[in-house]
Amino acid sequence: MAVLTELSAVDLAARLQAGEVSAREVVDAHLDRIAAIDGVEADGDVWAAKPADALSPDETHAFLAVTAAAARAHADDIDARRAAGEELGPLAGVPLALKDVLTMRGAPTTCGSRMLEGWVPPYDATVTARLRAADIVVLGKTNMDEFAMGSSTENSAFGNTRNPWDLDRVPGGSSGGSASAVSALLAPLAIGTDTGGSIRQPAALTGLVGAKPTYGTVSRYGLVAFASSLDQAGPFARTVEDAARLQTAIWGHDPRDATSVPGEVPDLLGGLRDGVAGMRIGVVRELQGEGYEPGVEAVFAQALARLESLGAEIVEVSLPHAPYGLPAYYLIAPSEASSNLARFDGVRYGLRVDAPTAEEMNAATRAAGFGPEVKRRIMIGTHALSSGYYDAYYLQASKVRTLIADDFRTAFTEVDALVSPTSPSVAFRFGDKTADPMAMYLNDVATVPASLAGIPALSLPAGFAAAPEDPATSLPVGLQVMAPLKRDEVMYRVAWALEQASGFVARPTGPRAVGVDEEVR
Amino acid sequence: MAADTLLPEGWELVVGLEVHVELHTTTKMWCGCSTTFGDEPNTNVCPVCTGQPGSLPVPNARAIEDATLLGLAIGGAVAERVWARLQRTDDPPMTSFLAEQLATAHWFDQRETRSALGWQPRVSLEEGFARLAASYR
Repeated sequence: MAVLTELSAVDLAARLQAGEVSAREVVDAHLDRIAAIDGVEADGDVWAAKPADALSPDETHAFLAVTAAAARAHADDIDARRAAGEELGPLAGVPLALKDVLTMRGAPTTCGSRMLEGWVPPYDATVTARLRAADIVVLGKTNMDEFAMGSSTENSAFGNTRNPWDLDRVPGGSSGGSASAVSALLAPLAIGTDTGGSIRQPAALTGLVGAKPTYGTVSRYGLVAFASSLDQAGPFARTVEDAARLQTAIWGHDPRDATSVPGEVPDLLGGLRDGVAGMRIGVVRELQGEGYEPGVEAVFAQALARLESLGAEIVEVSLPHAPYGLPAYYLIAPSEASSNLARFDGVRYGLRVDAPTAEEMNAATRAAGFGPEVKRRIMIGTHALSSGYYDAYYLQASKVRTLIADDFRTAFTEVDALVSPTSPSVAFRFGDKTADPMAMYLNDVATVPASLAGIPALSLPAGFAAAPEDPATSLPVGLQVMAPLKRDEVMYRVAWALEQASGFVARPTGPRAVGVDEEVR
Repeated sequence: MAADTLLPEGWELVVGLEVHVELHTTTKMWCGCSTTFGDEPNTNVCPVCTGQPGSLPVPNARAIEDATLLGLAIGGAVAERVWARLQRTDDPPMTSFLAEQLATAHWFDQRETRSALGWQPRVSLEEGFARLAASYR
């Protein structure tokens, strides 16, 4: 019998369909592994994560809450319906980890913040409802940078999530918990959200496939907003096909989200294996060179050679305004955040710190409830939107955003897809970048241009490189594939071809890697 | 007329009315909740109208259509047509232009004029208010 936690979603689904294994067995296998290595108090209906100071350095801490009873009940229900001959969805019975920024009825949603500690949403996000409709079993809610602001998950109010490839390193962020869960074999699938790279960068740092679909194709209803014009939920998986299948399950028009793209979404699976022969693939001149670790550049060069050997034509293209993407992003996103986070006033939900007047209560609540990075962005955003500065900052950044979108449109008249490294570095050590916000923000340099343009982009593992300070390490390196608006199927096709050629196996190895199942049991 | 005793010499009273009319829609402005009165308490509410984190408002299309129709009817267009029919050459008391101006916040940022040109207002804000108050006495 195969180790259930090591199987891909597609493999699990096939075995479930064939009756080789029950959904309950699959869910229990994953819950057992979570109980063994993630650092949770495994009792009650909802397992809580241990407090940060009670976690051991070997615990991944991917989950903030594990909805064990609900997951088992859902699995039993799936098994019963399958036994009754009901037609089930293609991923029915496959477990999944859900980022704690998406609401799920009956489970706490904290967004990694003290501000929402203890809040149990009375409704399901559209993504959650679609997962349920597809009979994908949610195992629990995953750790994240507070309100999705960060690139290492170190901004969570509930402690650090560890990278399964090296437990002394960050898993990236802000969807670090979802990335760590899939990489550590705690779930074959996860949902993350990506505002400026929060799916792609953690996928790169943990050796996973992570995709940000075209903006507006996955409903934001029930996704606690960070920057509304950029936020987009998407899949994490250990294979390209698994990611494409998960995206297929969650995307499509939703009348509850006014920014949802109307009409049909493309078929991601039909042409997945068509290969890249004859495709023109552009290398972005501005997204390489200075600032990128030599190991990352070497893996990128190797990937380009692979694409060429598969019959793709590699051409260099320019996105002249891409270098301004990072500063524009760090004005637009905090501006929207300062507005979106105004609702956390201590009146209706979450934390309240009492004080004599309402205004003092608001101030005391926000002072106590938000962490330093969230406060920093609220201040930057409020300043950028204030009278007299709006034109100089927010409006200017919005113009840059349009220019970047135009750059992509021009580039896509010449090429079918674009590639770049996903992140300038491999996974770094805890604390390495927390003292310097600029160093942390530079993680997003290659991912924000696609976010600003709204185009689909994914990261897939392309090879390994050593951390610059420790030549003995071997850590995953991600490659980013970007495609034109609403052409998500193109990026999956390129990624699938590269995945086959690279032979990368998403199974953590190394002296400080998380234990594999045999050792744990 | 009372207005004569209140208005300074040479001033004319023009009043713009902000009219709140309840539109007869079956659902609320930003969500699908029913607008029926008399139902059980806390039944016609949802995550959107209670402002729950993650919820998103979607404007009621019918409400926008109805409000636009009403606005077109009374926002000056009707009065202007009556004036036109009567072949009057003066402006009616309310025109669509005036309604728009009255509904717009008018303020000007003078910071750059002050710093670049050294401009100063001829009458300061404090003095302006003092003069206005004096004119009422």
